[in-house]
Formats: sequence, C-alpha cells, structure tokens
Amino acid sequence: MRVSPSDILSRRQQIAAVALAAVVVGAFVAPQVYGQTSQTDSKVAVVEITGAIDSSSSQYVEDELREARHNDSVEAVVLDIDSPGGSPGSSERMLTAVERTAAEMPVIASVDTLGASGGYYAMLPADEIYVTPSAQVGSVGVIGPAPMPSGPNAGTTAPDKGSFHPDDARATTETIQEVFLENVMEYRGDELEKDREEVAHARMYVGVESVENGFADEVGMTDDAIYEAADRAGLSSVEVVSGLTVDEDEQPEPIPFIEADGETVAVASEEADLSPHQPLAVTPEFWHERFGDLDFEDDDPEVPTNTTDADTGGEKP
Amino acid sequence: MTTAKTLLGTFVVAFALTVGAITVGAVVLDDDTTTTDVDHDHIDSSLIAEQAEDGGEIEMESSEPSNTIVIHTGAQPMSQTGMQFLDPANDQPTDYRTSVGSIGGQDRDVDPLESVLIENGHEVVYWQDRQDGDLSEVLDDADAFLTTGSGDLSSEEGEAIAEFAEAGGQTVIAADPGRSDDIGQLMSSQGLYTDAGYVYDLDENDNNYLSVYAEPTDDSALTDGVDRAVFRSVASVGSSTESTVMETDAQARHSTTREQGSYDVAAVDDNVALIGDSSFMTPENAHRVDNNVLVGNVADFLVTGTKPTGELGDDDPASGGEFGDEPASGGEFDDEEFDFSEESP
Repeated sequence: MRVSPSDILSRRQQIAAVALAAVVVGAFVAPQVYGQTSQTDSKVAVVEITGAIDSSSSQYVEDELREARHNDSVEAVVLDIDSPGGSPGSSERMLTAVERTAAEMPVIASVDTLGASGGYYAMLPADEIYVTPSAQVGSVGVIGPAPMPSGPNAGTTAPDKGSFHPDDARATTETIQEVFLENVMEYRGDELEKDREEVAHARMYVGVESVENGFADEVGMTDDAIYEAADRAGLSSVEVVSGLTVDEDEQPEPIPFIEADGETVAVASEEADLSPHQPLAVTPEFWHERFGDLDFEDDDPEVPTNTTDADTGGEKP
Repeated sequence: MTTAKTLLGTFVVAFALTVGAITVGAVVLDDDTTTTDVDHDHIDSSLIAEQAEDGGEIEMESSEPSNTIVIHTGAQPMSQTGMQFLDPANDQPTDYRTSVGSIGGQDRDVDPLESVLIENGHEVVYWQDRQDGDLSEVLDDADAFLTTGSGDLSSEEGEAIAEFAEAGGQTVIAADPGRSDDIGQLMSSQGLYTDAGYVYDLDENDNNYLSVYAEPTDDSALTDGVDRAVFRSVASVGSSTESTVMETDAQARHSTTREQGSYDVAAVDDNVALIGDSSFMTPENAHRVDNNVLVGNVADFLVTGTKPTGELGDDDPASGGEFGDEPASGGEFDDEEFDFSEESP
C-alpha cells in the first residue's frame, strides 16, 4: 500500500516543508543571482597621471583609485604616467591613494616618457615600476625661489606675512625635500642601488639605467604592465577599463585655439595651478619652460623694483 | 489539485523571498566604503630642517689706531628681487647674489664688517669703479683693501691691487664662485688661487647643498676663535705655500668633478687673505654659527700690519715713487692674457 505525504503530514506541515525546501534551494541559488547582478568580468583599471600635478589632477587620481577599490570588477590597477611632477602636497596625495590601493590589489606603474620629480613621487608605492628603455625617471628634488630677503611692506601685519627670511626659506624647502627623500628611501630603498646622498643629487635616469639602479623594476610598455597586473591578480584573461569616474555622457572640453603669428594653434585647456613662489617637485626643464620668462619684479609688488639704492631694500626700510 | 497549487505557490514565494533577501542583503553589505589604513610612521619630526645657531656679537680684538680701509664690492647685479630661480654658483652666473641671501645694494653686503670697523674707530672708504677716482690713488692713502667683486676690476686696477699687496698692504679677497676667474692672476705673486666651479655638500649643510660648513685647519689670525663657519656658496682655494686655513667637511663635493673630500676655502699668505665666498659677511649670514667671529677676524686682519710706503715702484724708473703708479711698460700683467677690463655680467 502506497503512502503519500498528504497521508502522513497535515496540510500545514506540508506547506512548512515546502517553504523550508524553497528557502534551502533559494540559499543555494542566491549567490549565483548576486554574482550575476553585482559582478561583471574582472578587469584591470588603467589610471592616467598626465601632465603637471596639482590639486585638481590629484583629486582626479584619488577618485579613480577610490572607485577602483570599491568596484568589485576591478582586480588590479595600472598607473599610466607621463608627468614632470608638480606640487609636493598634491604628489603626496596621489602617493597615499596609490598606497591605499596597492594594499588591496596589485598596482603597476608604467612610464613611457617621463615620470620625474613629483611624477615619480606619486608612483612610489606601486608594486612595480615599468619603464620604456628611453623613459626618464627620478629627479628627487625640489625647486623653489632663491632665498633672498624681500622688502618690507607696511600693508602687512608682520615681516613673514609679506616676505620671508632666507634662513626660513631654506629650511622650508629643505624640509619638503627631506620628506620627499625619506619617502623614496622608504618605498624604494630595498631596490635602490644608490644611497641617500646619491639619490639627493636629483638626477634623472634613462629607463634602461633606472632598472639597473633600482629607480624602476622592469623595462616594458604599458601593455606589459597591464599583463603583469592581471597576472598578479590571478586573472586568466585581461579586460581593461579606464576613466572609472568619468561620466560617459560627459563630453570632453573642446580644446581652445589661439592665433599666434598668423597660425592657429591648439593650447592646453587649462594649465596646472602651480606657483613659482612655492617649492615645487618638478623637473628643472618644466620649471624653466613654465616660469622662466616671468617678470617677478612686476609679479610681486612687495619686492622693491629699484634696488640700486641700498636704502630701498632688505631690512632697511 | 488545490493542495498542489498551494504548495507550489508557497515554494515560489518562499524561494523568491529567500533569494531576494539574500541578494539585497549581500548588495547592501557589500557596499565597500571602508578604507585601508595607510601607515606614514616613517614621516616624523626628524625630517624637519634644523636651523643652525644664530646670534653673537661681531667684535674686534685689535686696538690699532684709525686705519683707512678701502672696500670694493663690484658692479651692481642685474636683479636683486627675491624670486629669481637661478643657480648662481656656476661659472657664469647672471646674479650671484641669488645664492647668498642679500638684497639692497652692494654696500649692504658688507654692512656688518663696515659697522664693526667704524665702531672701532676706523675709516671705511667705498670704491666701486673709476667714477670714484683712480684706484691706485685711492690706495695711496689706504692701510687696507677688501674686495668682494674682483671679477669687475680692470687690468690697471688689478695691477694696483697686486702692487698694494706686494708692498705689504693688508688685502682681503672674498671671491665668490663665478666671480673669481681672475684671482689666480691677481694673487699669483702671493701664490694664491681659486678653482672654477663651486663646493657643495648634500649631507651636512645649513639647509641647502650650497651652504657648506667650514672649519679651521690651522691656527691663524683669520680663524682664531672660529669653530665652524657657513658659506652660502663657496669656491675652493689653493696656495703654493700650503697656507690654507679653512676647509669643508670631508663629505663635501666639487661641482666640476663631483669628487668627495675636504676642500680648502680660505688661505692666508702674510698680509693677503683669500676666501672663496663673501656671503658670510652679509647681514643675514654674519651671525650664523661662528660667522660673526670670522667677520671680526677679517676686520682685525685688515687693520693689522703696517701701511704700505711710498717707496713702492722705486725700482721702476718710470714710476714717480708713488704707490700704485702705472709701470712704464709691460709690468706683471699682460692685458692679452689677463684682461680685467671685460664687463662683468
């Protein structure tokens, strides 16, 4: 005689049993559903660090890397760098974002042309630095105004409000340099074949040489860096994503054009916000190109322009 | 049939609720906004640049009666604003003062020295160029001569200074890097010279690689009481009689060779002192470490000794017997090889 569940269990018990079975099955199925809804294929995010580094560009890189960390599809990051450096503080902001990201996933830096001074500073915590054979990296130094006393001005409330003492100017620049240098030795000290004093000479090294002396790790292109990042992340295939924080609907700003000597030339839409009156972690070439032709006498009214008379300058008001 | 439909409906509802609840819960819980801590412990107060000690009086020990000291500080630099980016300590600087932290005219650069000389009863006469008269005539009445701008001197003026020194006149040459090319010829009779380029120290310095420390190598009037002086940009000097009196730390390097070692930066040969820098006398630097003692010693050095006599040039029949007169012909200086007359930058 065949006995059906309806003969053994009451109606309520039958419903409860079915509901329990549904929960058990659902619990097994839910992860797959979650995976399908929340996960896309694993990717390597390429974050570009291009041009001079200021607060705007460091904000962008920080946002990109934060998105990379929080986006479950991103398993590794490649920093695609072409920068002569910029503001020390903004470079440090990038460095911190890179370090935070490198603590969670592989980060590989790639330099095909220039990754110097603040540009080199920003990539220090990367797991590896890839350089093309002729790329230039290094320039671990700071450029600031020469430490000269400037004239007094009764429009300010204190001597250091409108001018500075050369001893203080030297100390400020030196402290920024020491922090830069300390970070280089902290993050790259084990790889560097050069001691602190040699690094402090602030020389730029060509890619092939930088791999030998430890300023970089591998000779390779950005694609090599992407494959290395994917490999470190355990990805069997490589899918690349960039511009994580860029709105797809957002159109890039058109490049303005100006007339120069009868020819129309394109100019950068916006120059990095850097001041020549502050110490900068930039290459000498960039400094001269950007600020070399400035007329500082006109730029700073607190500096006496007629200095042929000893009584007009320095601390002799 | 009704029972089967009920059970199926129960299964579907329970299944949907379970999957939905777990999925939504996972999505909510997986909103990863946590941040990873970043350790910056290696950045600490040890990285803050230390300021060298500042202060101390500039004093003279000499009780010499009033001497007349002629001071030459060279041509006015092109610019003295505080925001120039130049590396002045090269061979041909546009404005050497950008390295030494001074502004406000040449005379201001030696103001501390001037003050202590006047305080002790001595007369200071500034001579800058021919507009201030013929240098040889000015030196006729002088007891001592100091220049911080030897590169701006003409050949005739160089001859006058060399004769003054050879006659026993107290002479101090403060030769900044890039402005000392002619020192070797100017002071060759005393066996003193400077090297092209500059000395720097990336390891032990006063907050800049150009600001090197120097210590006495031997007892001398110039270095008496000086433990350590700081020069804001300094040329290395040499002496044929091994009369150098100050040298840098052993980890200093020379710009031309990058070789590490101690470099001589001051020398004294009897009545002539050669120092590879003039910045230590500027108001902002004259009280740094023992620079105040060094400035006082320079003042003492200038007023020590005897005044050159008018017998100078007597062996030259064309000379009128007055010190500093032009030699009849040739003399020690060959203008073709030693041209002081070039305009300075």
